[in-house]
Amino acid sequence: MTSRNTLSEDLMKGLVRENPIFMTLLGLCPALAVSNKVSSALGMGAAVAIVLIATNFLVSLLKDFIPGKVRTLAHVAIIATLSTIVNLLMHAYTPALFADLGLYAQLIAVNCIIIDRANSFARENSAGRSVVDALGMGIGFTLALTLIALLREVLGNGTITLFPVAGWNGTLIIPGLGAAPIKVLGMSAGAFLVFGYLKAMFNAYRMRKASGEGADIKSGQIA
Amino acid sequence: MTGAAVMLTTGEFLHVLVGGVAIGVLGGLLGMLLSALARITGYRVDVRLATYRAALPGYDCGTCGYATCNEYARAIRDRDTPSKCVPGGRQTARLLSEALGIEVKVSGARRVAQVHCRAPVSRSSGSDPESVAHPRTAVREKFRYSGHDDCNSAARLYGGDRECVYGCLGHGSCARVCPVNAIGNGPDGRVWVDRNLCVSCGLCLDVCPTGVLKWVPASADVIIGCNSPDSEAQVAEYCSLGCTGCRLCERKSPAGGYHVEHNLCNVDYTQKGDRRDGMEACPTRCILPAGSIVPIGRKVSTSREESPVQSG
Amino acid sequence: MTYIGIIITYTLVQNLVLVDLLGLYSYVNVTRRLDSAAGLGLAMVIVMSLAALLTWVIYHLVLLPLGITFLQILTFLLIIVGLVQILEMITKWSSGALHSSLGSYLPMLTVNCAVLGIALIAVNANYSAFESLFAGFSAGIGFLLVTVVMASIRERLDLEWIPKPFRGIPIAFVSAGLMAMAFLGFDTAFLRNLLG
Repeated sequence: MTSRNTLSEDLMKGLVRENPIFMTLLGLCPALAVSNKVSSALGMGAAVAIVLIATNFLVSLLKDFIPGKVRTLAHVAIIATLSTIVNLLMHAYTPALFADLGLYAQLIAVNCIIIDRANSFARENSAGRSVVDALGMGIGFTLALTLIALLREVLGNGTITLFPVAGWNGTLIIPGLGAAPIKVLGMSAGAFLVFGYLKAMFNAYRMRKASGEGADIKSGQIA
Repeated sequence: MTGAAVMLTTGEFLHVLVGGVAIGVLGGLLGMLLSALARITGYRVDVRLATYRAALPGYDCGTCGYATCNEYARAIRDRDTPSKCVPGGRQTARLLSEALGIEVKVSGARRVAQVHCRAPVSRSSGSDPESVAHPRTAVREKFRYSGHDDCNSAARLYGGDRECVYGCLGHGSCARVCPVNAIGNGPDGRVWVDRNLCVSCGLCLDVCPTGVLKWVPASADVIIGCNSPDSEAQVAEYCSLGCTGCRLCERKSPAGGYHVEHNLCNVDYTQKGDRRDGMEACPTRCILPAGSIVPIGRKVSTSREESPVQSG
Repeated sequence: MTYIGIIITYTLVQNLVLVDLLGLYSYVNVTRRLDSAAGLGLAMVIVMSLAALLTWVIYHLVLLPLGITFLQILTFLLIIVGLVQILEMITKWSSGALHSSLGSYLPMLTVNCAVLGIALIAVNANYSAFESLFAGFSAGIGFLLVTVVMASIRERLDLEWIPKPFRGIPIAFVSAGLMAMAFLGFDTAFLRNLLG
């Protein structure tokens, strides 16, 4: 439905209130796998944000020209094309990042956030508003993914990997943790565990906020 | 791809075109294949089915005789009676009337489920059941149950951790299964159904192991808060809230429909006489006003909130 | 790789859900009950096998010869979407029972990461056509295994006393993490010992 928020609300809602990873659980699919290094998470977040913004822009421009029956197919085609473009650019200009992302760079095309946003928001809102929404979602996604990656890499590997600049190879080694990391957090099992605990903390924070507004929290589940 | 050259040679340009043409051809072939197959298999999105299904409430309760609302929607499309959905109530009847173009009526007098037990949900917080169960105000416990928070699991262990095996076990399985969240806790701790929300689907009756949830007419004014056929002496042993079968209600309200059988009072709701005298005469005050409390939300677990499980 | 190797790899050693972290959205949303999880798993087996085979065909017979492999994401997605549509039509046409059990899960698989994932994995590993089909089938079986186990765990968890912030998704993820840790026991050394 057409958004009834103000422009800044549309931007900010992607950060916490409708954060794609923690609230709607949409961006998980190909993203959780690259959260073992901070640089990969930042790179993936940036790539997804770019594809998201471009998709929302295009879909909101074309929304009156796409007949209903082929809507899903058209969205998929647009997203796949934009994702391929971003992939090729990454392959040419940031080859290290592209190699880090590996298979998951190509899977940005099926990232559920992009499809959901195109379908629910860009289809019914103006181009400008859609871009703002995409920007908010992209930033929220990147922040959430980076948080997961920070925890996983610091505790699981004892390092923080950022981008190499001017001779420094980009890796910060945390004293103490670097010698005795919790290796399992760097593996896929760690992704599940870290995400589970972070989501629980997020739920607890939301419950406390909700109870502060007078809602009844004794009735159990939030998500 | 070097990123430096901008102008393409003719060969490279043709190569770019090849990509576009290939996609176009692939898309065209796929489109034709899908259209042909759609025509062959007679694939139609059945709009009628979706409309009927949207009119039904979606509880999958089985009242209509079909296992799921999807099946009943299909049955309606295949000319079955559309007035079988009682839980859907007036809303469903209206929507189906609009969709079918005929008048669909909600059948009969409404009935709701109600818990026939006043026992508070919380258990003793100490490990010694003797210490707490104040024999004057609560139900005695046989042992301390620390299994699944589920009434049927509890009932398998000697009929539950309470001395009374006929009453409410308080683990909230009925509240969990209610599709409209009509079951919750009253301020005195009892489990209670809000009759304004109940849609008569019967899922709670199916899941309750002791049978303490029973149907009453929606217009019922009193509920007997006890389900135990034990004699007066036995009931006095373990519960101060239950019906002892003393028949004072029968004597004080002779036209009220009170009828004691097997030490338990039942109300014949077809009798329209005054019931208040009998209600006030009850020595254990187990005759309760039917709409007395509106349950607070849905409390899923019982005493666990107060007494965390000691792992053993 | 031998066929036995392929089966064991994609079912256990490199399970698409637990190791590659693909297909998480449907994994987390459809595993609340055992019957829906089993339905999803079976639909996955069928779709993944066919998708792997068809994408091999397109890649090796169209994209490679014409030199337009950069179009692989777009073409693979078109194939998968078309495939799922065809399957939906066929199941509806052939049997109402099959459609009501599998049909509701098919739309979920159109843009599922796991389906596209196995197609890309098979192409990157340069499998032959039959090996691709096998890889897709094994990946589907691995997915079925994991969803059924997860659904059983979650049905039991519904009855337990779980702290409120953890109820629902968080405890499911923690359980998945523990399962993933258990599956760490299946690694390439295991594969080598088993197959020599």
